[in-house]
Amino acid sequence: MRRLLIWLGMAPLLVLVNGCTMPSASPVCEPTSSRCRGNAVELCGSDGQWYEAHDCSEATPGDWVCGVVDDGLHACVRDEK
Amino acid sequence: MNDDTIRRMWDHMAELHQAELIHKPDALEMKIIAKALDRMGIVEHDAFMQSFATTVGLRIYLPFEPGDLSARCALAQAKLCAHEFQHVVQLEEEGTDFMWGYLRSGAYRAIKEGLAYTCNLEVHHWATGELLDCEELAQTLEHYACTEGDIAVCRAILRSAKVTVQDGGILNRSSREVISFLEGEGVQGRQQKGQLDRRK
Repeated sequence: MRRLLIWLGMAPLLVLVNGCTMPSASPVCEPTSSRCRGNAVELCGSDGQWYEAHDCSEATPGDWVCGVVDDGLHACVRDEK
Repeated sequence: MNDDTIRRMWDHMAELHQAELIHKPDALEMKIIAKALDRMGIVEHDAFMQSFATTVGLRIYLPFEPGDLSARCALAQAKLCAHEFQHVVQLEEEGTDFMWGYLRSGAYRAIKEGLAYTCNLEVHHWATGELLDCEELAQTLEHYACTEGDIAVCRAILRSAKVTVQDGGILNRSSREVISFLEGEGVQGRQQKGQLDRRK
């Protein structure tokens, strides 16, 4: 049991180290840029891939929609409708 | 607002997500990871064991006993609770893709940590009406084997979240759950700064 726990503890580290050498997909966006996709805010990661950051449909209280705020940054803003 | 309320907050969240709270100093696997991270130059052994909570799957390793206000004040524990359980929510939503992505990609890790730090922003704002410094929060990723580019993305996530939070919005499920529990206990947000900040 003790040995199993040691290996379980080490496994994440082995993957972490291995992950540094693995190939990744070609960049499709400028890191830190943002956009609305449906009602979600997406952020471009440092690997140049889009990631969903916030789903505005799940924000509470009230209704929220994805919109552009300062400096072209996208965020969930109150739905004024 | 007392140690019993905070202890029950942790227990409530653990029960809600069927997660396990583990005392980090007693966990052999954490001692091994601490040594390895220290040798890799990512984070010092004592800092990892004493200053950081760590969530692996449904196991949350805490460097203190839940509800021990001499170790962390009530507000710090409420923020930490929402943060760590947001990682559990991420696991619930994405399954093994989350664990795999978190471990192998700094870019993915920065996104997921940025979203978890959004919980710190949300709970702090609920409790005090004040906004945390996004720059300072994002910089914490120095200890997560992240690059400057990853930290910049985390900063962008927090800046985006800040817009919603300062308008009274809550984006993350675990923040909603923590706040809902505390309100159920009679804790009123934005009036708690003095009480929640106070250590025993």
